[in-house]
Amino acid sequence: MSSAHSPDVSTFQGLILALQQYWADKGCVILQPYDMEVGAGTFHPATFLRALGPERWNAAYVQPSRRPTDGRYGENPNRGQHYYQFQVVMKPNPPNLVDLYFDSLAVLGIDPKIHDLRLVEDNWESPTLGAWGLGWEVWLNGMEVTQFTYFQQAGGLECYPVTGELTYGLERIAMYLQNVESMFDLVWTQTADGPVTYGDVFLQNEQEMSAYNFEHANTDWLFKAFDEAETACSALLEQSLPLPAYEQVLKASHTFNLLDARHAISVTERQRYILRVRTLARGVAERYYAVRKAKGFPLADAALRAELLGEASA
Amino acid sequence: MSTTTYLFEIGCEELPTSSLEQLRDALVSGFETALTTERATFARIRAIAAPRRLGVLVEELSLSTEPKALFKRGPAVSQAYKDGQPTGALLGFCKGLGISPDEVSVEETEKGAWVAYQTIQPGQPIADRLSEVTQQVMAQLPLSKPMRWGSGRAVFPRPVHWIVALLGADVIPFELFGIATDRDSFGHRVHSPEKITLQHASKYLETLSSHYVLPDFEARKALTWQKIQDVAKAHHLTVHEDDSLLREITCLIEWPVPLIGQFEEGFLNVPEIALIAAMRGHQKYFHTRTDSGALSNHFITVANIESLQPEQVVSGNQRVIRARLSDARFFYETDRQSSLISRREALDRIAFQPGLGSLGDKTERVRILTREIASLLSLNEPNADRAAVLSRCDLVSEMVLEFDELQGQIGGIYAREDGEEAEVADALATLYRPAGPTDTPPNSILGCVLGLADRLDTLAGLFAIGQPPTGSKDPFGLRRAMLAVLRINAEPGVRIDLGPWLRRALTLQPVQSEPAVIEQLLLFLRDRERGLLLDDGIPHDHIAAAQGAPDVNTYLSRLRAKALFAFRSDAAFASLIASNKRIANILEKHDGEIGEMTPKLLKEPAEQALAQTLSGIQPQIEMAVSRENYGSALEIAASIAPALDTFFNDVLVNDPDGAIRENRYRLLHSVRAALMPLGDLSEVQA
Repeated sequence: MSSAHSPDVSTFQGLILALQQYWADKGCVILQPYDMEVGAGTFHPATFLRALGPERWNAAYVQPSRRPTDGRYGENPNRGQHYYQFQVVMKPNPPNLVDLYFDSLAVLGIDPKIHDLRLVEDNWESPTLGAWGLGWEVWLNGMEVTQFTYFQQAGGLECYPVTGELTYGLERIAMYLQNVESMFDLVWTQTADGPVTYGDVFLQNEQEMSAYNFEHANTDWLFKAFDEAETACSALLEQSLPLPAYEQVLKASHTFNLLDARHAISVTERQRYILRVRTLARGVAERYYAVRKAKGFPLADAALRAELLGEASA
Repeated sequence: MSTTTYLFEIGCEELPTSSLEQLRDALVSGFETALTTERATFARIRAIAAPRRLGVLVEELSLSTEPKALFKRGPAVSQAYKDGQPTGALLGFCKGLGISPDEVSVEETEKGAWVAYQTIQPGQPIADRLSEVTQQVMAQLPLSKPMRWGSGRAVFPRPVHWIVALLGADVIPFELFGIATDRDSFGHRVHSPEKITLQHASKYLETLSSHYVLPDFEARKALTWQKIQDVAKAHHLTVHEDDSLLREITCLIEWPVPLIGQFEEGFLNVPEIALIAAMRGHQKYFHTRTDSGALSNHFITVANIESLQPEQVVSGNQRVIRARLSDARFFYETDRQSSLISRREALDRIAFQPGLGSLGDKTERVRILTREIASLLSLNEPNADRAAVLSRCDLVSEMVLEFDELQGQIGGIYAREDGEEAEVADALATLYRPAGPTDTPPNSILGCVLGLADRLDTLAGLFAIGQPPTGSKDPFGLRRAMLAVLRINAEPGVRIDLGPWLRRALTLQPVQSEPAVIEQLLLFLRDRERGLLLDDGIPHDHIAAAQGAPDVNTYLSRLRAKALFAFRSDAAFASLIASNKRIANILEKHDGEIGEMTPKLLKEPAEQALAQTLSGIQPQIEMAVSRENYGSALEIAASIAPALDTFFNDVLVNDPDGAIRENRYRLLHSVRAALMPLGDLSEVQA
């Protein structure tokens, strides 16, 4: 790869291009964001569902993530209801995943011989997905820039083999590289007409979406939408259609987040809603696994396939 | 005997701070036990514990285990031979040991002669035993949060990459986690990523340190602390020793490089506990102070690398702490736009517990209890009431929402800034003390009273709604709350009888509780109290006796227990205890109430003498007890023992005349009642 074509990591989009290029070179399928509202890259079927079962899977993608309660009308320099994650998943996790990660930072201009990188224990759990894993938050000179997780369970099912998941906080890394104090000041790209900033692209979105999330989202309709999604999910599972059923889980989950932002759910009710989403996610996970198994786990290594299909192993 | 070094190192990805030290200790004690069982001798076991490695260095390990004398007793000689020939019994014994009948000897004892087998089991080369020893230690390692990785089934807190097992210069071959042992280790992840081939176990520490790793936890910790102090000194600053922070940092680094950074002085206007919490809790920085003791705007962070550009590491950390401190300042400034008391109303909208109302409701209950206890102790009641009203207001401050460990302290600071009385602010600041066994109770009496009232309400409320701790589950921290009550009640100026106050706290609850609840609460209190007294080395029966007194003044029961324990070797003690037990047994046979004794009905000289002795010592006991001098009270009480002995010798309680019989019960009952403030002496085991 000639340096003339190397992405300019001093821009936000260059950072994304560099990460995509790096992980593509490591054998990852470069996917696009899932086209639905999700709270994190983990919700993308390429992570949550692909983490199930024995099949090999390496992928990387950007995922716009929505967390309605984090909205600050564009007034907080570090926080927004919409932000980007760069997600890498590798199953089974290669033994040198930490090294690969460190090398990826070096590509971004973060030389581990200059910058103090630390792996600080952080165990991840998603109550709505019934998923958990062990790993770290990665500190770059004291700042958390990445979540690193070895999946142990998803949708209540054991993850075997283990998926290694890296979630880069793109805005944070970019703010560090560009030395700016507000994410809205990030240079998205340099053009012949001058720089385009993150604020140019997203500030109005933050303002308006914060207003929608906190003030205008119609709670009556959201409560109905939650119930509808729940019903639809169950019906789709009965038809053995886990992928569309999973979309209903995503809808229910985001609807719940909106209701939460509207303070429409009391503290005690909150637990029950989380449990309802988890029940759906579990149903989807079980069905997805069953469907892949019925197909004979086509992407799995022979020995693992044999082991998990219950055949006598060679 | 010749010795060598055994090195066992598990190389892994960065281990969790929460389990590194626990695993290190378990490995060391596991090897100690296993090697001792093997009869292997060694000088010491040095722990290897760093983010990417765990293990042991067994130093001066003998090359061979000690020989062992073996002695087995077989059947009796009479059973072992018949007509000079070995019987089945003897042959079975020999078969079990793999020996022939010629090899046994005869052991003569007082009970007869027995066949015996004696031999010396020779020592074994330690090299033959280490594989099994190590695997056995590993199998018993407690893993609190194990994980799997890759396509394997092995579990450990983080993925394992290499295993070194080296006895002197030789690899001890075995497998762990599907990895074969070898002599290859790895140094620092960044500074020395290449494989290191170890020639000899004894060279391990020096080899690793030349590859930017200090594997010995304590040595690394000591060096880190030394370097931190050096950095502080170079900037004319002091740094407060903080062992738990230092341990945490030691768990996170293999090569300590402290660096000093700073933040804008303007942040120093924010209460320093918040600045320190941001530095310590979020960023694991040491804060520093100037010569005058004031918080300085310099912090020390410990990097894990010798950075090619340390200024980059410093400026990165400064960026992060600036954002953190900006948050802290924002919280402080937002909080200070309104007074602490103005937050009281918000507590009405926050649930305390289902069934127990809001935090506002709790506050009102605590107000009543605080005022009433303050009145009993002659404290300033308006101040007590004010402290109680304000007690939970800081829970709805931005600062405590962000740094929950600052609850109480922030209330104290805001109250002082609001111009509340100093006594009130001090009481608020110590509301949550003692936070644990090493923490101290509040340092003011009002603080103690507020802390007591708050916890008595919590305990009474949760017991009233049927949520006492069960087994290992104590989600509301009630055991800790009760222990805090006991410790606070030991403070001078407090020391109240808790029985009536637990009852009072129960009556203030919004739920009607079963009559059994107060009994459960008292039992719960007694259990915690027993635990504390057992820790002091006081035996169970003395504690039971001390707790048997009519009051629930836990301060006094401790004095009683200690006095009994001290008095136990006194000559008069046994006699006092024995006659007390006798009285208790006799009184147990009496049905119904026992009334007042009538002196006129005392016929026998021995009972008259007993009554007279009693009337003589009773005021003396009361006097000693009122001075909390239980040792002296016990001595006085013991002086009744001869009169009691004579009474039991000369007088039959069970007189045919009902009136006389009843009066003798009454006499014994008054003796027991007079001694009861010393504890229920019948509980003491002879």
